[in-house]
Amino acid sequence: MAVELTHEQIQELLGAYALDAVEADEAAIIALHVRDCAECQAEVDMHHEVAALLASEPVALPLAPWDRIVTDLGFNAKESDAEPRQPRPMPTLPGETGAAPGAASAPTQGADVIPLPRQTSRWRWITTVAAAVLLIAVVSLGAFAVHQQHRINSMNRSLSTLDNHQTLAEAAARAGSVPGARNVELRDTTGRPVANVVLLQDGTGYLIRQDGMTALPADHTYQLWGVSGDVKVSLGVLGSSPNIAQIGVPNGITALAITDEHNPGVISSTHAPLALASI
Amino acid sequence: MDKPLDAASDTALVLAVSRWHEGALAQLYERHAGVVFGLARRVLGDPATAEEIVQEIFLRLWNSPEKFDPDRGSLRSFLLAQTHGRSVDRLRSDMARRRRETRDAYERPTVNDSIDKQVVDLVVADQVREALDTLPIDEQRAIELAYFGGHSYRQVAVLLDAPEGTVKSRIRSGLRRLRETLEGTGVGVSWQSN
Repeated sequence: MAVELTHEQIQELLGAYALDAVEADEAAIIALHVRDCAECQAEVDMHHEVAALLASEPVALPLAPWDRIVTDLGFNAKESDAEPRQPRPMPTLPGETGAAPGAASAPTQGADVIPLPRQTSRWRWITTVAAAVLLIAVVSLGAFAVHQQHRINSMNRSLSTLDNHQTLAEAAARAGSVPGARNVELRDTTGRPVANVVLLQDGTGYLIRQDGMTALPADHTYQLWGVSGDVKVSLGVLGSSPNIAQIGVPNGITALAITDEHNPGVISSTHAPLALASI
Repeated sequence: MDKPLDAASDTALVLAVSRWHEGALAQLYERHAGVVFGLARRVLGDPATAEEIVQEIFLRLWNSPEKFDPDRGSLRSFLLAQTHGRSVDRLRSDMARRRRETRDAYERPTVNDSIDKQVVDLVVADQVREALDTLPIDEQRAIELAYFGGHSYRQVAVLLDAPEGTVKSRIRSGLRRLRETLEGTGVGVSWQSN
């Protein structure tokens, strides 16, 4: 017997439908319904966005599937071996210049810059504004991180020749009493303190080793990272057995992490963090 | 594409994929394959099958980029919706489900589990977990059993010993409440811009 559902009955099922938690016959009916009902389609889309956040636990990037994709699709084949392919027709996207199907495969003028879609809901308006702020922060972070890397490398080289009147330890100790200074404790999976960071309001600070930071092999180094949303920025390498290091943390960083890397450190880490803390 | 791939939006990259840009697919893979794999693995409980799902999802994207409509949401939610659908299909038809039924139905990642994951999404994941914790426990359980357990609402009703109508309502209201909570904290913006 065919299942028949009213609009109200379908609405009650939209949450379950978005989570693939309905029966097959119900799913088929709802899929047909939402094609013609903008209200229900919008609700399903919203539930999908929330579910995507629930699912976004960070995991290591799997490499094997990509290798198989490259093989299956014949990527990296010589261009002369491939027959020219026509671009696939896409739905009209903002910024698309409307090149006719069969046009040259090279992107047309302006087509590589796709403005965000028109914001139809408060949810998307908020995310657009925040995304613009984040984009500015990311650009700033990138430039600042390069600058900071140079600074920290220089600091590490000069540690052994510090002026007797102001050792790094003295400076770190004084920083703790500066108004507005914050203490951030990075802990490992067992809750053991690995490092303590004294952070001043201008973003400078000091990282002080704790019991959980054991000496690494000579060809390894601890590396400090600043996290902001999706962005992970190196804040410097600390050496294999640091005691105290001067650091800089740009605005917008919301978490700190420490990884174990091979010398001289990496641009992008694939290692799980040894210690973490939210700022 | 003039700008570097890693600076391009997801939408621009999908457009490039429609023009057979291999590097664009690689960039999208780098951005999203991790969470695709994570969700598939969590639903299926089997890393090998989860890797097959990852391969399938990105091959689909290569073969049918026109299926993504940026007006309806982010590319990530599009990919994860497909991932979840395929994972549940596999789960419901796979003998592996019999092994999963012996597992704790309420299994959720703990703070210690998250340490094993990349730090990139750590802060967002913490905020999402906090938002989930603010839900009434009945709504939490219903959503988790449905989404991560791969159960239908009818099966969830049996597991929770609750009427089917109640479970449907809990899932729907729970998702709405989560959205409001996350909207208030600004979570979800880091890839919405793409």
